[in-house]
Amino acid sequence: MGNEPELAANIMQSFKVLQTLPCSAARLGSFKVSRTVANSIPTPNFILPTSRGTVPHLTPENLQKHVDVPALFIGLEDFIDKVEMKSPLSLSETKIRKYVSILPPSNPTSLPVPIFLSSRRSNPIPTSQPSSDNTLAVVTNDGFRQFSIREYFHMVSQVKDENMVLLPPIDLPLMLIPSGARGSGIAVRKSKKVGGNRARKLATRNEQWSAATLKKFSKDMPVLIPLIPGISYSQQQIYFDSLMGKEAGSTNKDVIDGLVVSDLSSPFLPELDSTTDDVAALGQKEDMEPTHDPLLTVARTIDYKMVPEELKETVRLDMAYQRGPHEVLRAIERGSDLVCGDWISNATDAGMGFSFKLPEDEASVHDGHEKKDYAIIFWDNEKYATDMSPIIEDCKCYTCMSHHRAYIAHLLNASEMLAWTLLQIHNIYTANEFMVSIRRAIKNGSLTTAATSFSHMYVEHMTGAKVNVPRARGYQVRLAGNTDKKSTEKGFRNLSTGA
Amino acid sequence: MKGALPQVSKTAAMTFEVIAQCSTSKARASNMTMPHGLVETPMFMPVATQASLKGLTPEQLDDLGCKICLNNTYHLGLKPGQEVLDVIGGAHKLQSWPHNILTDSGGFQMVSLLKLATITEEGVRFLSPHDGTPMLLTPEHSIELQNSIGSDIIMQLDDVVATLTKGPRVEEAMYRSIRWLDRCIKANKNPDRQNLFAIIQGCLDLELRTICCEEMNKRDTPGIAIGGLSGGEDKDQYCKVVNHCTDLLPKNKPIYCMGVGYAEDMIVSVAMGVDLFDCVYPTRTARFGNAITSEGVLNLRNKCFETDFGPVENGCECPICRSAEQGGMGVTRAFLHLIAAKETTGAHLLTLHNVYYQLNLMRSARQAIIEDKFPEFVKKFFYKLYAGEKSKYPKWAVEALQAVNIDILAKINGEK
Ligand SMILES: [Zn+2]
Ligand SMILES: [Zn+2]
Repeated sequence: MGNEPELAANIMQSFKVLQTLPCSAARLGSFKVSRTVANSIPTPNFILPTSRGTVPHLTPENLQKHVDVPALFIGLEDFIDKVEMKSPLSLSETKIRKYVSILPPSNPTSLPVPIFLSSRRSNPIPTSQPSSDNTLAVVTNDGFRQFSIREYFHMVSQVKDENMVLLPPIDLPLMLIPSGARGSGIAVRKSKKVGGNRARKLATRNEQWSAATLKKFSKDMPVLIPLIPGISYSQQQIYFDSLMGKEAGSTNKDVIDGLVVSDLSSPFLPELDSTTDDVAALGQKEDMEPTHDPLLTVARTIDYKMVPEELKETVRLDMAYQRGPHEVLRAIERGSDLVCGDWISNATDAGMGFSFKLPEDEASVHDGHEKKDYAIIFWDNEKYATDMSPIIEDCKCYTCMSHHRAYIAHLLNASEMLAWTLLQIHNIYTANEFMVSIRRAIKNGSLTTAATSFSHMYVEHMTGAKVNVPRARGYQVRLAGNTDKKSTEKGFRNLSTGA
Repeated sequence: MKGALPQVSKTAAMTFEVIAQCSTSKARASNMTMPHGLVETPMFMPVATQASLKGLTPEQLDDLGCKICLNNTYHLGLKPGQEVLDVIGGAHKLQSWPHNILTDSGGFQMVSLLKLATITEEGVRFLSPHDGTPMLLTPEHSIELQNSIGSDIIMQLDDVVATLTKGPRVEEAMYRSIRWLDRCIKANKNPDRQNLFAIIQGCLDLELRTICCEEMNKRDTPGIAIGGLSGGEDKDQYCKVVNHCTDLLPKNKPIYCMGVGYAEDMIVSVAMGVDLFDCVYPTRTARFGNAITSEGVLNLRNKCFETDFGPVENGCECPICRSAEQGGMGVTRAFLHLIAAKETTGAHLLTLHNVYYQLNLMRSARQAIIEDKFPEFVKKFFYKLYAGEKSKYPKWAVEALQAVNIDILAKINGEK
C-alpha cells in the first residue's frame, strides 16, 4: 500500500485502506480527521449536511442525545451577509462548533463529531455570475455575492478546531442564466462538458485556490482537494502535478489528504419549463448527467482507477446528491469512501421513514417476491392511523423506542413539526446501521452479493412521497418552489357517528 | 377572606389541597393530584393543540418540568378523529405522554373558527367546513369525544357569547351553560378518572356572575373555570370579574382562567386566587422569532441581535440559555437570529425557552407564596419588566393588585 513517504515526510497518512474487494472498487477504511487527536471515521460512511449550522429538524440537544452522526458538513456561505462586511461569525471570534451550539458528546470519553468545512453548502445553488480569480460566487443567506478567497481563509482560521476537515473553494464549470429563468439569481449549468480554453482556465484557478488552501491549512487539518467536474483527468493533469509538487520548479510539498468529487447536476435545479414544486419528485427524475464519459471526473460516472497513483490511497468524498440507498450503494461500489447525507434529510422532509436493511444473510434474498419499498411513507394516514408498532420492529432509535407509527402519521398529516423530528432521528439511525452493514459486508467479502440482493429486494424509485415541511427550510427550497402551503383543513366530522 | 388550612377537596379523580396562602393577597399554592400525577399550582399549561408542542418531543416537554398540557378537542376530533382515538386508547397513548392532559369542550373553537355557528338549546349548530352539511355539537357529543381522548381534566360545553355582549343574550347564555353542565355531568362516562370542570359565564355582568357561581357551586364539580373572558374586554374589567368570582367560588377547588397566559395577566390573576392558566401565545410567538423574558419580549429577527453573543436571557436556566458546561445548549441570540423563522429548529429552541419561562414564572410565584413573600415577588416582577419605570406600570394592574392589598408602586426591598 501507500507511497506516503514521498508525499508527507512529517504527517502521517490520514487515510488507511483496511480492505479491498476483488470485483468491486468498494473499500473498507479509516479516515483520521484530526492532526492531533485519534478521531477517525470508519469508511464507507456518510457526512450529514447542515443548514445554517443546524441538522434539519433537530435541536442541538436532540442531535447530541438521540443520533450518532459520523460527521457534519457546514458551508460557510450560510454565515455571511449579502453585503461585504465582517460576518457576525467573524465578529463573534468563536469556533463555529460553539457558534451553532454543536454540543460535546454526552459520553465524555467520546471525541467531538468531525466537521467538514466548506465555502459552499452541499449541493450548492448555481450562481448567476462566474467567480473571479480572487473571489468565489456564492449564495448567502440573503442573496448572491462574491466571497473573497482571502475572507474565506480568514474565517476558516478563526472557526477551525482540531476535529475538522477542510474543503478548498472550488470554481465550477460555467453556468449560464438562460433567458426566462424563474426568479433572479437562478442559473442553470448549461455546459455539460467543458471546452479546452475554459477547462485550462478552470484548472488553473482551482489549482491556485487548492494550493493556497493546502499551504495555509494542511499542517493543521486534513484538506481534501476537488476534482473538477466535467473535465477529463488528462485535462487536469497539470492541476494534479502542481498540487503534488511534480511540476518543474515546484516547491509544493503539502499533503493531500483526499479528493472531493461533485456532480454537474443538482437535484435542486428545476427544468425551466417545469412547474413542479416537489423536491422529492425532482430527486427522482432521470439522471440529468448527459455524458457518461468515464474519463470525465463526474461523481455519478467516475472511475477512480484514473486518479494519479499517488492519490489512490487518499480518502474520497462523494458530494453528489444521492437519491436513496440504491445510489449510495452504487457510489460506494465505485470506490467512494464518504457520501453526502442529503438523501437522509430529504427523505425525512418527504415524510418517509426508512425501512431498509442491507441483506446480509443469503437465505433472505432472491426469493422471487415482489420488491419492497425502502421506506414507509407516512402520508398514508388510512394505513397507519391506528398502527401502534414502531417504524421498524427491532429498531433501537429514540423514535421507535418511544413512539409509534400512528403518532407519526397523525403528526405528519396535521403538519406538526414533531413529525419531521421523529422521522429524522429514525432515518439517521437507520442510515448509520446501513453503513455498519456495508462495512461488515466489505470485511466479509460479501458486499457485491449483498448489493445485488438489495437492488432485487427494494424498489429504487418510490412514489407517493411529498415535501410539505411547515416552513421552507434550506435555501434550495426557493428553487423548488414554495412548500409553505397551509394544509387544507378537513371538515369536522359528526361526533356521534364519525361519518 | 382566607380560609383556614388545610383546604382539601377529594373527588373520585382528584385530590386538591391548598398548601400555602399568601397572608396579604388571595394567592395560594396547591397540590392537585390526578390520574396522571401531581400538578403543583399556580401552573401554566402549554397548549399542544394537535397532540404535540411545536416540534418538541414529549421527552423535552417533560424535561422542562411540565406536568400538564392542553390538547384541543376540536382538532383531535378532526385529526386523528374519535374512532382512531378509541382504537389507540386515548391521547396519552397517542403522544406517549405520561403526565396529565386537559381538553377544552371544542365549543370555543367551533364558535371562533366557524363564524357561522348558531346556538340552540340542543347544542352548537354549524355547517361542516368540509362539505357544508349541517352539524350539531351537543354537550353529550363534546363529553363523549373528551371521554375518547381520555384527558384528566375535561371541560363542559358552554354557551359562548362575545365578552362585550350586553342584554338578554348574556343571561340566556349563562343559564344555558348551567343546564349544559348538568347534561355534561350526566354524559361523563368516566368520572372516576376524568375531572369535569364547570365554566362560569355571565360576561361583564357581576350579578349574573354571582348567580352562575352559586349555581355551579351546587353542582360540586372537581374544578371550576372562569370563562367568557379574554375576548377584547379591558383588562380592568377582566380583573373585576375574576376578583369577584374567586371570592364566591369554593376555597378548596382549583380555579382556572381559560386562555390567559401573558406574564402580567397571570401574576395579577394569581394574586386574585387563580390556580391554572393556558395560552397559545408563548409557543405561537416562538415561531415568529419572539422570546419572552422577564424584561419583555425580544424579536430575535431584529438586526440588532445579529452580533449579540449572549444568551436569550442572562441567568435563565432553560435548556437553550444554560451553557454547554452547565448541561444546556448555550444558544446565543446571534445564532437564533440566523435561524429564527428560517429553520424549524429555531422555533423549537425558542419554544423551549418560552415554555420554560412560563413554567418557571409560576414555579417562582408558588415558591414566593410558600415562603409568604408573594407581594414582594409581584413588586419585583413589575419593577424588572418595566426597568424600574413605575410610571409605565399599567393602571389596570396597579388597581387590580391594590384590590388584593398589593401596592406595586411601593418601594421594593433595597430600592433607593
Ligand atoms: Zn427507529
Ligand atoms: Zn432561556
